[in-house]
Amino acid sequence: MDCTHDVVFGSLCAICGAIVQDTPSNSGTPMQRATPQSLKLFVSPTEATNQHQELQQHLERSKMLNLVFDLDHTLIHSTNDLANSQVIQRNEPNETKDVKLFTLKTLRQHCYVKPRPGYRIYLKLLTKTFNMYIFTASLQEYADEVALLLDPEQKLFTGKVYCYEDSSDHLERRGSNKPAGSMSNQSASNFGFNLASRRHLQKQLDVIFPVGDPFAIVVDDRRSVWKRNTPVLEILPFFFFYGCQDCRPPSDMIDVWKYPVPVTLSLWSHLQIPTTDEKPDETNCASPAMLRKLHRKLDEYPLIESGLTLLRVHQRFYSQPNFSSELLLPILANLQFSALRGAFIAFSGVIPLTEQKNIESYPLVASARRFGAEIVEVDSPKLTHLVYVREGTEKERKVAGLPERQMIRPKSLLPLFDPIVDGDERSIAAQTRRVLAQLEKGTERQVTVGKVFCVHLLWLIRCMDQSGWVDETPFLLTETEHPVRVEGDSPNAEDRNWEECLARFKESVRLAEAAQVEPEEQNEDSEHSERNSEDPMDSFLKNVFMNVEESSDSDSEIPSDVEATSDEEESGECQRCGESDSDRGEKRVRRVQDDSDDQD
Amino acid sequence: MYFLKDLEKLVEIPPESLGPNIEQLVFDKLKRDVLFTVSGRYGYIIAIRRIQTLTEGYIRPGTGNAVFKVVYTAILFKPFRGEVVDAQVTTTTMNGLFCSVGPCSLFLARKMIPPSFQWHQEETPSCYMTSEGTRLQSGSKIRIRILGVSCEQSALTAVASMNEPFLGIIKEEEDTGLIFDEND
Repeated sequence: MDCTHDVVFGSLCAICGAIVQDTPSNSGTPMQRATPQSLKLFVSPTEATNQHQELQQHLERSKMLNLVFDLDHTLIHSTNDLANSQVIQRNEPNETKDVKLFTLKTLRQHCYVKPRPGYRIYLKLLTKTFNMYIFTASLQEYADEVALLLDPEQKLFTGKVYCYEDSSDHLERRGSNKPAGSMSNQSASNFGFNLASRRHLQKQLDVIFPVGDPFAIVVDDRRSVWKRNTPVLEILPFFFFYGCQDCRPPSDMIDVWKYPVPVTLSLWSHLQIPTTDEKPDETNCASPAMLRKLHRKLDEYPLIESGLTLLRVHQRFYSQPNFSSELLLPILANLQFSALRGAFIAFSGVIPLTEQKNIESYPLVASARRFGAEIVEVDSPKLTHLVYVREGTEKERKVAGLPERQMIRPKSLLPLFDPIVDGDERSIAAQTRRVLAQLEKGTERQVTVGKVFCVHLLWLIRCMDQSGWVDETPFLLTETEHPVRVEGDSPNAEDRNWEECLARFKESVRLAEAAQVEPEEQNEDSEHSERNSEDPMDSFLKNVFMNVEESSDSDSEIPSDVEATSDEEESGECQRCGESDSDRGEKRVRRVQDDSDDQD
Repeated sequence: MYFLKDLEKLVEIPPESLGPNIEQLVFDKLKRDVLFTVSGRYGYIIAIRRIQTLTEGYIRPGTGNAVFKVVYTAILFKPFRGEVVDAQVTTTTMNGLFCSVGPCSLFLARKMIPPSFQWHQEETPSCYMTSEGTRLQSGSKIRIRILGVSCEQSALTAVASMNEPFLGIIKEEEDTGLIFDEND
C-alpha cells in the first residue's frame, strides 16, 4: 500500500482504512494532534502545516484572530460544595437562575456551575472577529459540559475544547520531565474537576496550534500559568460561590474583596444600592452583606469590558502594515500601558506591612504599573491619586493639605460602566462602535490642574477592567467636589515608545513571577531558551516600529515628561513645570513614617 | 450490520442478593455487565434477547459469589469494511467530519468528502458547503461507505468515504431507510 497515512483517526488511516499501529508517521517525525485529544485525530506534519496555512489565510482575509479562553474563574465559576452553594441559591434566587448542576461520571462528583454574567453578550460581541477556543486545566468531561452550557447551539466551540488531558499528553510526547502521575493524585482530591490552581501545569499555545504562528490572544484570570511572552489579557477572576472551597484567589493575585469599602462613597448611590438598610460599623465601612451586593453588581461588567479591549487590540493589529502574532503582545501591552498614563499613585492601607519592603513585586503594584501608572511616595510633588481603602488615615490628611498640581489626564474619562445591553446582533454592534469610539478618545490626554484625588481601590480595579481611565467621582473619599481646570491641550500622549513599554511590561511580569514560589524546580533549560528568545523579539520590534517612532518624535516631548523616572523626581526638576515645581517641592509636607498608622 | 449471536458469559452473583428469583437476577446482572460493550470479534452488544442456557451455579471460594455460566442470544452491531451506512454528523472540523452510526464513531477525512463541498470557516458553525448552499454540518444525515473498522475494548471506531456515486447527504423526504445501489 502506498498510502502515507497522513490522517489517522484512532488507530485507522482515514485515507485507506488500514490499521496503523503507532501514530508516528513513515518519515519518523511524530504525528501532530489536529483536534482536541478526545477526538483522537492525528495528522502528519505536512498535513498540519497545510491546514494551518489555510486557516491563517482565512483569518487574514476575514480579519480575524484566534482567541483562547480559560474556563474556571474566567468564563465560569464552579464548585462541588453542594451544601454551601444551595444556601447561596436560596438566598439569591435572581443571581442563581442560570446556575447549572452537572454530574461528572468519571469522578463521580456533582458540581454547580455559574457562567459569568454577560457571557452571552460577550460571545456575541466576539464571534465575528475571533475564532474561539477553550483551553482549560480541567477534565475533558467537565470542559465539554461547560462548553455546552456556554454555547448550547454548539456553534462556537465544537471541536475546539482543549483540556488538561491535551496538555499533559502534549508534554509527554515532547519528552518533558513533568510528573506524569500528578493527574491521578489530583483526581483523588475532592476538588478534582477544577485543576486551575495547579502550578505545575504550564499552558502554552503550542497545544492548540502545534505548527506555525498561533495568531492568538488568550483570556485568562492568571497570567502566570501561561508560558512567557504569550499575549494574555488578564481578567479579574470571577468568584460566585461564597464560602465554598476555592473562592479566594491565590496569594499571587489581587483579592479586591478583602478590603473594606466605606459607605460614604457616592459609588453606592451610583449603583443604586441603598446604604441605609444596614448600620455601618464605627469605621464607616460596608457590612459583608452590602459588600456582597456591590460585588455582585460589579461582577456584571469585567467580561464585556475585556471583550472591548480585545476588539481594540484586534483593531490595532489589523491597522499594522504586516501581521505577525508577535505583534499581539506589544499591542496589548501598549494598550493597557496607555490606560493610566499620567497617573502617579500612592497606596494607603492597601499593601500589608510585611510586603512594604518588596512593594515592587506586590501583585497590585505590578498590575498598576502595567497599566501605565507610576507608583510614588505620598510626599512626591507628582502624586495625583492616593488609593485608599478606609477613611481617616494619616496619609489622607496629609494629602488633603497638598497644593494643586498639574496632571495629564485623558480628555474624556470613561463612565463607571459602559452598558452594552443584550439585543440582536445589529444593536450590539452599534453599541460596541459607540463604546469603542469613547475608549479611543480616552487615550487623548490634556493637561489639567487640581487637587490630589483620594480614590478607593475599586477605582484602580475598574480602570484595569476597562483598560482606560475611569471617572474618579464615584470613588472619591470626601463629598467635596474636586474642581479640575483644563490648562491646555496635550498632544496625543498615546505611548508610541514601544521599547520602553515592552521593557516595562516585561519588568512587571518578571517581578510578578519572581514573587511566586516555584513549586518545583522548573526545567532549567526551558527557562534558558525563553530568555534567549526575548532578544530576537526586541530587535524585531525595533525594526517594525522604527518608522512609527520617528514620526512621533515631534509629539514625544510631553510623554517623555510624564515618563520621568524616580531619579528625576528626586531632583524636583521637571522640564515643563520648571521653577514652580521645585517651589512646590519646598512646600511639601514633611514625610512621616506613617505606614504603621495605615495598617491594622 | 446487525447479527443475532449466541454468546457465553460467566455471571457472578454476590451472596447477599441470592434468593428465589435467581433467573431474573442473573439476567439483570448480565445486562449490566455486557450491554453496550464491545466484544472484540463480534461488535457492539445492543440488546439481549433471551438466556439460552443457565448452568447450575457454583460457589467461588473466597468471595462466596455464586457463579453461573450463561449462554445468551444477543443482538450485535458491527460495521464492516465496504458497508454503506447512514450516519449523523456530530462535529465538523477543518480536517474532516466526525459522525456517528449508533455506537460507532466515524471519521471522514476531507479528501473523502466530494470536492464540491468546500470548507467554510467563516460560517457559524463552520461547515462544508456546496456552491448551491447545501450544508454539511452537525446534525446532517449522510450516507457513507466504510473504509476501515477497529473494534477496541471500549469503542467502535471507523473511517469512511463519501466520495462515490449514490453517497452523500440524505434529504429529509428521501430518508426512508437504506437502499443498496447496484454495486453491492
